Amino acid sequence: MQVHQAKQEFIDRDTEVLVIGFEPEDRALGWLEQTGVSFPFLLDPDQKVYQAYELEKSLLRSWSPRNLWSYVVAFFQGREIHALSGDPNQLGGDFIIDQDQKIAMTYYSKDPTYRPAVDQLLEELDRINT
Amino acid sequence: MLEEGMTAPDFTLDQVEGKPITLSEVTGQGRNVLLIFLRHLG
Repeated sequence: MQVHQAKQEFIDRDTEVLVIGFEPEDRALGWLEQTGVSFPFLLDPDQKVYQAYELEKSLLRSWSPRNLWSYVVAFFQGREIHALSGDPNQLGGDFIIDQDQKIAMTYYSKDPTYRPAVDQLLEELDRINT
Repeated sequence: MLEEGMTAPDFTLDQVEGKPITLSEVTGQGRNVLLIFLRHLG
């Protein structure tokens, strides 16, 4: 089950789910439409909140060999290297914060394709709610 | 890296097609918060 499909589970646990992104609003709207996510989407274009939560930028971790190669090729061919629409080096993460504004769980993304399972998140919320 | 038990940094951010949201106001209403920071949207 994906996070956005588990919306009622989060409501049942008195939990507000907030999605944060750094790209422009029109990109965010497109993503929301595409994914069907209905949680609030917050905009952090200069990544101040990303930095406050110590989410790192990692050149090595977020570029696949194919990405790097195509840029190298473009460079040597003298082609204009147009930047990706977002910052490809900014990694993501998940945090559970309790009602006292204390951090109850942190997850710093190392692999772009992996995030904590919804069950893990719900279990953690059950733990802090008792 | 931030750790469990630390106070979560407060913030106010604009919401897409909605009003700004402040973290401490949400927790102040007695709710937990799950923050999902995205990578670039692809």
